Amino acid sequence: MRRIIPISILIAGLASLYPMQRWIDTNLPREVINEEVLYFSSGETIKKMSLGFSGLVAEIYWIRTVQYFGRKITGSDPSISRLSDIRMDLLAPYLNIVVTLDPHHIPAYRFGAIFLPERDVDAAIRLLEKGISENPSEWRLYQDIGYIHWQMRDYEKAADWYDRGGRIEGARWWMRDLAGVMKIKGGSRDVARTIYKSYLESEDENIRRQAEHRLLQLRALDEIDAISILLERLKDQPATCQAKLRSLARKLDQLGIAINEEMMPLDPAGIPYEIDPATCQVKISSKSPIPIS
Amino acid sequence: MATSDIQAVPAVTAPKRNARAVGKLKAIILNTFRESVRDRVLYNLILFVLLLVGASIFISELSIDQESAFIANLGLSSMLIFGALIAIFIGVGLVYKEIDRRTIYNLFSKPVYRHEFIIGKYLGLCLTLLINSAVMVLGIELALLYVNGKLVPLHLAMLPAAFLIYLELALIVAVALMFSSFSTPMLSALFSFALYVAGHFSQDLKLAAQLTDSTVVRAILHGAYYVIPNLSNFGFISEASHGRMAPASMMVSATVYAIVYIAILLSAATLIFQKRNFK
Repeated sequence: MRRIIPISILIAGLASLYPMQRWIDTNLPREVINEEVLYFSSGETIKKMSLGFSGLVAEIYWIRTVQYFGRKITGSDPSISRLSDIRMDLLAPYLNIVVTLDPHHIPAYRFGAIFLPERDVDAAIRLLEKGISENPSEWRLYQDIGYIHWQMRDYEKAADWYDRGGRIEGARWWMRDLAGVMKIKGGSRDVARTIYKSYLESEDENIRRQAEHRLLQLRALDEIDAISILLERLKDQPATCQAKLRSLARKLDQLGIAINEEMMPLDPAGIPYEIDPATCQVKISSKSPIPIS
Repeated sequence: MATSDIQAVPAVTAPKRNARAVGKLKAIILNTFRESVRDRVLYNLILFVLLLVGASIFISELSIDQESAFIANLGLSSMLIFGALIAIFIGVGLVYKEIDRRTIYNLFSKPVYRHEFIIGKYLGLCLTLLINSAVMVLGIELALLYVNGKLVPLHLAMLPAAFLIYLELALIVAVALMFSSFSTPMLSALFSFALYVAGHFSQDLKLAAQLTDSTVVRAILHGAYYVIPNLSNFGFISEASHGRMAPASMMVSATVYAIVYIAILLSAATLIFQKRNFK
């Protein structure tokens, strides 16, 4: 009899734990991310406090970061109604803690590359630079930092990061292509041309083919510039843009630009350039295999 | 429970029996409390006061709001840490000491049931922690008064947070007592500390369960989440330090959770203890 009471309590208590905790979780949801982290925003301090379990602590911080920011930003958390409710200011400290505790935590750097630039682009760049210095052979980090600079229209830096990343063993072939694209966007066509010409000697067929396309694109861009200058001189004439372009056929031929039977200039792939009838702006046709951007 | 103990209890009416049981419990509770006082457990209060006074003086360069929040955070966190250390290290010795000194044989030769012994010991240490915590709350309130120069809403916010901490400490005592009913003090302290740490990370078990692709791992993590005492149910230190009052629903649910969990642990301790031979 003396044992029945504690056994009953034990069974009833254990049985009630699940529904009780479920009720608490549903009715009193607790945030796993909070500003307590700001008291120990130094990853170094937390590293010392982790007593050698820095990898484990890094994983705990990482799980919290992914769970909170991942769900909230992607909108899969129904508790969030406004984007302003997300404590984005805590993202950088959390990620810094994770990568200080575990400098080889690549997913943390890449997570920061995706979500940090929205709020603090400098923090994103700092995080990725740290990632690259700790993991110099991770070509994806170069890709991420290159993309951030691209978005900031800092094409020179973007090209530099893509180029450096593209030289790493195992990097995807298009990394070096992107370096050239950045040079084109930044106006350094000669540099881009030099880069692509060097790729023509690559053993990788993808690189070679893409380099050929990019070289054609560079040539097309030069031709478009030449055509535009000539058209500009005719801007006061009353003819249509198409008629003006046809009238330039001989000059264009002298410049080495191919002309078709209708006296229209052809791009290096042999497809006629398109001309905007209103503005007289010339561009590569969407039918052309030459990349537009 | 020894059969001889039952036989030693004379046939009495139920109210009289209850009064006797209460009397026995009271004696065990007060003895346990006196014992812990004799062990100089309450000396930790001196360290606590020094910590608070030091913090109040040295962070005076900060703005008023931050200073108050810091004092509140430091005070409540210290209350939890000191309390948890007392709960674990005194809790694991509660039963072992009686066995080691052989006083338990003397005790069980009297009409004392084993569950009364367990509950009495438990409540005795809870009384020690109650007094310890009450003095600490008083210390925090005085430090806040010193820092702010007047009563502020933060003073009130400390009380529910302190109550939640006390519930957590009461649960830790039960954990320590349960382990000490069958293990050595060193192992019991180790187990209790591990459960204390795991209890504070139980939220992460749930998160990890949601992230994993393995059904088996998910089931294990979910199981652990519900079985390991979820100490985050009592965590309100950070919010309270910013002057937020713990919602009534949280207070009620945390209290019910603590009572249920303590009942489970004390029942388990009683069952294990009843199996042990002290003849």
